[in-house]
Parts: sequence; structure tokens; C-alpha cells
Amino acid sequence: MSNVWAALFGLEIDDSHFAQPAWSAWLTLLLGCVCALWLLSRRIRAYEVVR
Amino acid sequence: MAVYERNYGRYQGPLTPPWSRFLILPRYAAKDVFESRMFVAFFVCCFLLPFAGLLMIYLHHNLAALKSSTCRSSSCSRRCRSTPPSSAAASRSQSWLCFLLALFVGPALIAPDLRNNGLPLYLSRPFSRTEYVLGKMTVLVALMSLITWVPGLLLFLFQAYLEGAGWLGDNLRIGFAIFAGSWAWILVVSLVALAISGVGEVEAGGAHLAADRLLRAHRLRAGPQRGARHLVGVPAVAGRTR
Repeated sequence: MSNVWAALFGLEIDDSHFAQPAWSAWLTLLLGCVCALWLLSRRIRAYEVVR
Repeated sequence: MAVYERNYGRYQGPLTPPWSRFLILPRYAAKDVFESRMFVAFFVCCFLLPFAGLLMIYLHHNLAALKSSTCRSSSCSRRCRSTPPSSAAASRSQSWLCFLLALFVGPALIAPDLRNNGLPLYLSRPFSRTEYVLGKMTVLVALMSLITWVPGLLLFLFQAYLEGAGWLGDNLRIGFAIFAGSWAWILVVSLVALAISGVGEVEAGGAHLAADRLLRAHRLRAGPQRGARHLVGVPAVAGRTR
């Protein structure tokens, strides 16, 4: 998220260890959202399957 | 013992418009959340940094107050302006508070409904899964917005007002960055908190239980949440599941 903030504000990232392109930081956030939505779609059901 | 005939009539009251049904959940969830004094204290503390920013911006533009205060050095004067680095630092700090807020509120949103089989109560009404998730997420989104981009943009506009014409156009990027960055973080944290709340109920372990116990002390209740019983004007449809 630090990379996202830096990209949005147009700042240089001091720590080269975390220096990665801004698009990869955005992609990581997007993947996190997709994973969370997938988990929610699996869990939020009006019934439960008993095997 | 007398046995009287019982007749059940269809609900005749006003129906909640479909587009606003998801707002019923955050209304009752917000009541529950703000019943906790600990949470209210934490929420008030979240406004300390924006308030300090407001004071600094005001002092920077009020020369008389600046001279009378102890903040006289040039470095201090520079810090009293809303620049990209200072705005980014403030946004990062508020993001951490967002995370803590999600830790407080998030686990108690979905887990009690799953644990007590409360979901059929919601979903047996004309209320979709999307609306359920949207309603639960609105609780987090509203609270986080109040501590991130809302005060951030207010401070930005306050400084634009004090700086005069031209400053707003030159520094429009700061306002956009505050808004876009805050929303990105809010959406990610809200969705992850809800997902952990849903999954942690089954897995019964890890960090969720710690957060759950923390919340149980001040908020969790047994049984499905009150919003399920208060889907005003949304009559139950027997046997309808999604």
C-alpha cells in the first residue's frame, strides 16, 4: 500500500527493498479483493451442504 | 383449554424500496457498534490527527497566531503546509487506524449470522446475497470513510480556501490521491475483514478468534443480528432460498 500511496502522490520510494512498479501494487490489491469476494461467495449461502 | 382459530394475513404495511434494502443492515449494525464505549473512544481518537492538521493549516495562514505560538522555525512553518509528503504520511497513518477499526468491527459482522444459522432469516426474504454483503460492507466503508478521505478532503478544501485562487488547480493531485488511495484501502480492508469473518467462523482458529474474543467483550451477541428481524416491510417468503 506504501507503493500505491507513493504512486498516487507522485513521491519517490526511499527504500529500494520495497521498490516495485505501481501497477504490481495495484494488482496485488485487486487480487486481494477478488480472493475475498470468492471466499464470501462460498460462505454466504442460505443453506449448507452436508456431505 | 380453549383453542381459537388462528388466521394469518399477508403483510399489508409499506414495503422498503428494493434499492435501499441493504441500508437496513448498517443502520442496526451501527447502533450495536456505537454501544461500545471502547469503540467510541477509539473512534474519537481517530480524529486527533485530522484535527492537528486543521490546526497546523490554520496556524500557517494566520501570521498573528503563528508569531504568538512557539512554532517559529522555518522548518516548522514548512511542515504546516499540505504538501504531497505530509499528506501521504497523514493518509498512511489514517490507513493504519482503518486497519484497527476493521479489526474491531469486521469479525462481528458476518460470523454471528453464520454461527447461529441466521443467514436463512435474511435470505428467505427478497434480499439477495449481494445486498447482504453490500449492507455489511457499508458499515465498515462508512466508518472508515469518516476517518480517511472525508477529513482529508475537508482539510484539502480548507487549505485551498486559505491559499486562494490557483492553489486548488495546482494541487488537484493531492485531493485525488487522498480520495483514490483511501477508497482503494477501504475496499480491500473491508472485503478482507468480511471474508475472514465468514471463513474464520468455520475454521475456528487463528487471528479471527483473537479478534472475535476482543469484540465479544463489548459487542458480540448470541443469535443472529437484529437487522435480520428488522428488514422493515420485507415480508418473509416461505421456502425461498438463494
